[in-house]
Amino acid sequence: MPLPDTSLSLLSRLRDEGDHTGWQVSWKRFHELYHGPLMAMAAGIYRHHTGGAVPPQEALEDVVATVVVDFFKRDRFDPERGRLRTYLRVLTNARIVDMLRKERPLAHDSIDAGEELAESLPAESPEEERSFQQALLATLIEDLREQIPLRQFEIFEMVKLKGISPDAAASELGVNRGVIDNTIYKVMLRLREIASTPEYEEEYEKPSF
Amino acid sequence: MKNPLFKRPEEKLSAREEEEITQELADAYRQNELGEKRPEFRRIVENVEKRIKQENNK
Repeated sequence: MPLPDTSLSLLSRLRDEGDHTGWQVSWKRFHELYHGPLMAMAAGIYRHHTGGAVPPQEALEDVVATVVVDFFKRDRFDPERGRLRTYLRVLTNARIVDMLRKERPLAHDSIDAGEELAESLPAESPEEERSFQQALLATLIEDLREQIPLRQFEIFEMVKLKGISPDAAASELGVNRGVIDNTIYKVMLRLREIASTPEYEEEYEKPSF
Repeated sequence: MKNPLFKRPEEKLSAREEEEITQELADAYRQNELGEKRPEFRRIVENVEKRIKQENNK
């Protein structure tokens, strides 16, 4: 898979339409979805391998950047084998182990490096799971924004995302309360339809490697 | 436990599930807004772009 030139290639698909992968990602989408989870993954894996040491922020950022580049360079993700996030955990684990070996080669002789050694991969942490879920929902909201009229999204954003009461939203927008309720109902239905598409379902439901 | 948002659209949601979905969406929205403003996010993007350019120049 060729590397994208810059992050400006927002709309360019990183995988072809004809590809069998279910997760069609763009450069921006990948960042939106996986930046938070990758940072949480890297921190959890670092703590796992160091007996709970606090990871240096700069080192984590470096690991995350390397993992992202590795992912696009290798192009070895097989959606038939499991979720993308699990594959990213394997890559992240390998990079953390590499980093620790470089930092303290003697103290970490026992670390099992390499992507094939699953036993060295710690279980997914609750922070990681939470971070991924939030990123996935944020992406879902962005998809919704692109697929419904602006006015409908504005009402949804006010009431559901910013917590403004339906009455206050109606007053601010100069519409009656029924318009607000009806719009929220329709938009929530659309949101659930988007959430039920294969790319979202696969990331939620597919078992790990 | 499955997030109720990812139930089939034809399945009816309880009031509690609706409330749970609303809360999670609001949290994700807020976190995402904050996340994109975080310095480490910008640094990582810059770092990745730099490495990509290096790879493409090889």
